[in-house]
Amino acid sequence: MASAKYEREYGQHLVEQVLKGKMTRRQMLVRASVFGFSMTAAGSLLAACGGDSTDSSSSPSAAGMPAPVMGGILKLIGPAPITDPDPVTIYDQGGIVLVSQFLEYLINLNDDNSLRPVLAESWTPNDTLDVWTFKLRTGVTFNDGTPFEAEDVVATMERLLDPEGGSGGAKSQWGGVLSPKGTKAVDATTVEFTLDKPYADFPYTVSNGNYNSAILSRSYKGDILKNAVGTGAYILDQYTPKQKATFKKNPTYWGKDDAGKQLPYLDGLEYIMVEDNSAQNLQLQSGAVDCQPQTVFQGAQALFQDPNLRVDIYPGTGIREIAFNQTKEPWKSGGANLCQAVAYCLDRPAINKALYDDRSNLGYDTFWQETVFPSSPPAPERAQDYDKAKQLLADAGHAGGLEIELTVAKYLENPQLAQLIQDQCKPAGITVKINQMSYTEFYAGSDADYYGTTPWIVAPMTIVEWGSRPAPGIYAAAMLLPDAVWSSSHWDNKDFVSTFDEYESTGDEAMRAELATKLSTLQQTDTPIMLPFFISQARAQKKNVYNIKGPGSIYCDCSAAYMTTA
Amino acid sequence: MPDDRPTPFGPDPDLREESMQLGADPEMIELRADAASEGRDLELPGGDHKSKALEADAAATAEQKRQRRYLVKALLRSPTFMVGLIIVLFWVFMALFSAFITQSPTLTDPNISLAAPSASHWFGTDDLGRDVFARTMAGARTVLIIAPLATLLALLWGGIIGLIAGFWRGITDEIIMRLIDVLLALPIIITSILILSLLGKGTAIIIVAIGALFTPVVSRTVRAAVIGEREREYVMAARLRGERSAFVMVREILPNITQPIIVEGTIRLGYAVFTAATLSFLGFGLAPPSPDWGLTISVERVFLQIAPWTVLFPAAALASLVVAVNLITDGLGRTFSK
Repeated sequence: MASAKYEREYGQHLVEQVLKGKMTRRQMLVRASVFGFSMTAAGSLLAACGGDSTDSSSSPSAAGMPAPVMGGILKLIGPAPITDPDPVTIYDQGGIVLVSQFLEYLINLNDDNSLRPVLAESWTPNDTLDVWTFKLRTGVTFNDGTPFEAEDVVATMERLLDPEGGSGGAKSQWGGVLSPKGTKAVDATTVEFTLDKPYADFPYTVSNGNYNSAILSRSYKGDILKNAVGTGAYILDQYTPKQKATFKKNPTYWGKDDAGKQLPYLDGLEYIMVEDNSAQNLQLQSGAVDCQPQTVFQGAQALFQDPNLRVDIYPGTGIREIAFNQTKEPWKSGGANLCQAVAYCLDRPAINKALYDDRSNLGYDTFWQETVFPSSPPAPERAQDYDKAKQLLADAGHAGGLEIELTVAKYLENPQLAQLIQDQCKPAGITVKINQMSYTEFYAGSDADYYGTTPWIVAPMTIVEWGSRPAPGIYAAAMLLPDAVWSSSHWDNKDFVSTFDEYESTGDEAMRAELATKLSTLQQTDTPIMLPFFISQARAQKKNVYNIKGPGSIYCDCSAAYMTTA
Repeated sequence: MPDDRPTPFGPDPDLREESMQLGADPEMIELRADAASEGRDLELPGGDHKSKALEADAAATAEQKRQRRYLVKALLRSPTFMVGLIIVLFWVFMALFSAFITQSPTLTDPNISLAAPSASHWFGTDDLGRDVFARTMAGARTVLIIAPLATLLALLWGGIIGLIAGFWRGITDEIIMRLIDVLLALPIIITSILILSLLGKGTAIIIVAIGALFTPVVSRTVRAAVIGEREREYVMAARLRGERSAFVMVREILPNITQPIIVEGTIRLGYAVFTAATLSFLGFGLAPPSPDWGLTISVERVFLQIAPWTVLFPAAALASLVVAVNLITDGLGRTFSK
């Protein structure tokens, strides 16, 4: 539990920010959860601000839910894991949905980006935000009967931080933040993270917002399918690659509902693996399955119209990064003017309508957007403006027009996005040549030559898809800093770097807001990447399915899910 | 004493020997040899043979022309052929000139995405607000480049192999046909995918892949036709004249097996249209935003339930072209068999 002194001081600071009008109540609750405030403590803060206590973990389907019903097998449908679902290296929807049924995280994200404790009961930083201490939940056992202790957390972190481990999540979220040997078991129920630098958003990186950080037993040897030991609500029963996985309820699961009833309600789960989205949709419509954890908007309109289904929409933070490689022409010599010229050609609402049926949040080329990350300041909007685009082109020395090449993988809706960019750039005199390649070609190359040959990093202009990230700083650290692991833009702005370090190392919310505004301005001014939208997530399910939790839809937490007979 | 008189084939007694072995009339051989040695044309016994031969040639030519006219008239009277021809010509016209008739097939307008067919968009719009009519018309272009060229390639390669196997027979035929049997056992689509995966993508590679895969079946048809012709008198006569094998195959036999080759060609054309569209559907053809029919069906099929026009019109266009080619095949087959 956070120390009383710390909680009092930081709580007072948050209340002051709200009362001064520098922070909304929603923002205050999110930040309080990041700093380990319990629901009760957060409720007290709201009361101090003159507001009501609210449950920030409620999902879109929470309102008007019937009483839970015990029993039943919930059938899920989605793609097969791309590789063996090793929690250390998974990165795809199939793998994440599978492991999140029998593994758990220290913390879970709510749909509004606030945090709720799971295997950690509370957490608190030191004054300089470079040491975070987590108190673990007691009485939790793995499904093989061994108790869950601090050593399991240490072993999990060390495994993830092993340079040979191949964990993308660890690399992108802990690079320069947490090093091997930085995690220490103080006692059986206390873990201390000593960071390489102060990091105010650290709790996000040990939540399920970092999908690789699922807590594994210290005895885990990389054989997850043979030895699926976890603390989750379900136990992996059978796994047939590319076909089906079945789960049975974990009788020793620690979770209980608000009424004290043992979770999970369901007897088990089935995860049917079908690659094709249309085939998934048809199976759901036919009643053969109960839920599609991640519904792709394109082609899902029929699901929205189906009277037997309910499609929940969650505010998502996934993006399609449109990167201008600053080390390649024309961006190298054209500079910010050229990047902005392209940015002002985009008709963002039209793109949102075409690709996401108007259901995603518009993006304005910065991560710090209140509409997406509640604790961020509002971002200045960017509307299509061809006059401005032409002027910027002329200023960059391309008054006669410009020809650029956009490299894109034939994956998801990326080709359609490329076509829209191509069309929308034409009136400004920008000719976009689309270089399409297969997913494999686009991401070809191992970690060793990320900066050598792989198109998504070295091509002059690319579209790269990113799954959800829980905080703007996590995106920025992974792609916008000069030493970022996955920088397609190769942007190197020293002012941004120093401001970012300052931003992540302070818990002063007023200062953070100021610094966030500056970071946002720097990002918009240089426009090393375009972010036309933040993708909302959808989950389609039968109307009798309730209480599957996110965040977003990819994680699909079924620990408290149930089905009524209707 | 060796007989060293020159022969019509040159001063080679072996060829004379060979001609005799082939069953030629010995008297005729002697007459040809004499004529050759004196540097004059052969005068066949029985009067003005040269003029008679010319008359016979003229008669044959006239007969051929008459037959050709008859065939053309018969085809023009064939409803199946004519319907097929009109549809194919329509798509050829659209492939060539749709750019001048319709709006741009790649022009997007997300504000009218998935709009139903209307007066302004006859076939509706797709997910990016592109005009489905424009895309359907322009989609004919790629398939009408790939399919005919692939078919011609298959006819060329299959024709050469079939002529060689059928004309020479023997061990050459055995080896070629066993290889053909192996190739015919390979499923077309799977083998095309393997070829494209190995060699990469691109229109030229698709043409070569489809052409190569249709070569075995064409070569079988050609071989069968050649076997039927190789024992005919005109072939024998050409050989007796000492014509080279290539000459006999190309100038004598080939013109006489054009009908089965044409029918085979149209059958393959239909299959080529279908195969090219299938490869595009599977992602081995052109890349978006090409309005290629197979690709469009693949990309837009997710909207089938809510915007069926995005898929049905290109699918109907593809079906119409395949059916039209098959109608032409049917018309040709019926007419030739009369």
